[in-house]
Amino acid sequence: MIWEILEAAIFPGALFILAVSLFYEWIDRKFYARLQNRVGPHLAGPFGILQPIADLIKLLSKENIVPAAADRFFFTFTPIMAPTLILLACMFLPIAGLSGLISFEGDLIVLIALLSIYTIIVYLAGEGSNNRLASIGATRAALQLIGYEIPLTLALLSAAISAGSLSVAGVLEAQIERGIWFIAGPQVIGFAIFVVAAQAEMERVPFDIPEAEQEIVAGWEVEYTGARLALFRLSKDLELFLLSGLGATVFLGGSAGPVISGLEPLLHAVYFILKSAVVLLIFSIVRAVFARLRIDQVISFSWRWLMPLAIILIILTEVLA
Amino acid sequence: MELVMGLAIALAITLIIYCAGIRLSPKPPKTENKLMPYACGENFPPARSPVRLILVNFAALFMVLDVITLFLAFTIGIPPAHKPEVLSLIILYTIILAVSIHMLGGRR
Repeated sequence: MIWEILEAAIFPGALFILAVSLFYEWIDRKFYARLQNRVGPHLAGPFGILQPIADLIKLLSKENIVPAAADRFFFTFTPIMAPTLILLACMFLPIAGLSGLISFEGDLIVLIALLSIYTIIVYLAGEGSNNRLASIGATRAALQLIGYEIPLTLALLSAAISAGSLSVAGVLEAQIERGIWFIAGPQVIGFAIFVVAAQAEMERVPFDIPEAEQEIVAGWEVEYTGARLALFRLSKDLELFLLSGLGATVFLGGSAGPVISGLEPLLHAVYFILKSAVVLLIFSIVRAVFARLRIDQVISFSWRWLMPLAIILIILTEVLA
Repeated sequence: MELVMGLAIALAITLIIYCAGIRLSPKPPKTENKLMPYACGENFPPARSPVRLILVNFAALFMVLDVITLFLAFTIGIPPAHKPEVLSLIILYTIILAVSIHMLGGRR
């Protein structure tokens, strides 16, 4: 029991996930900066690797302001729930082993449900601020996340249908049994849909209209300061970790690879980090090469192109399976 | 591990970070300006922008499609003899999606 709690709290649990997600933020920022011919973070630690931690501590040490008009309950409740939900979802990923910390048949559905609840949290966070800019941002975020939730689900589902299992560990096991990653096959369309939909779920360029800095400042998180803003930033980093890890697990064989006995957890974790870093770099490239889309373009792209493509993929998988 | 225990650990870690933030932060007196809603220096009283009705349309569509997606998810592992039912479910899905895209198309 105590061993289980330590595992969930330290390695490969919450603290490890937090550390890796802060590291991923650094990779994302540094790589994005290099693509734009900038230096990127370079002051804190070697090559600026400690910059995300420094940013987090700085935000934690800033003053907490609750605007007079804001809803106090939602203003405190939503920043606490956002990283909690994503951190819980991260525990479903097989990191140091072939099954996650929490693993049961159907956990893929629970994982997707946690992402949907995160959407509601974002909307409540924006509406609870009682600010026009935040309210506009929240509406946009809700519209966008609603639109991209279904293609994301269908892309993951097609891999699950192909594997014949609804659990993350089952999908991974099917790839090990066949000796081939799902990306080498019709699921490559699924991976493409996943990358686009994940980019929209994370509200990153080209889908960052809910927090368009030039027109609505920071969208739904405009009123948040100090520790609350730090928690929202942390939940973004965790989401980056979750979605790149999920993409790596479902389409790239996740933590599977050749192992030496005695070093299994470590080697599995290394494979997981290497593969999810590849997905992360794809996310960064997408962010660097595209420009922001308008909200109507974002939504009609999802409903007109991404969803029909996802259904074609499902039919293809059903026929081939 | 149980789902509830995972939730408890995740919540505990988040609360520790939040409480650290509350402790570390300075607490200067709150002025009236500080408590006003942020509006880039313009004079905006606190207000929510009215919810656009199209959001409700999209939310209703999302519900319908998400439920069918869930049905589809639960067809995994059924015997091959029931494949036609699954395919008819997918065809139903396609029809609903096509109709909805057509309906929403006129508004934009």
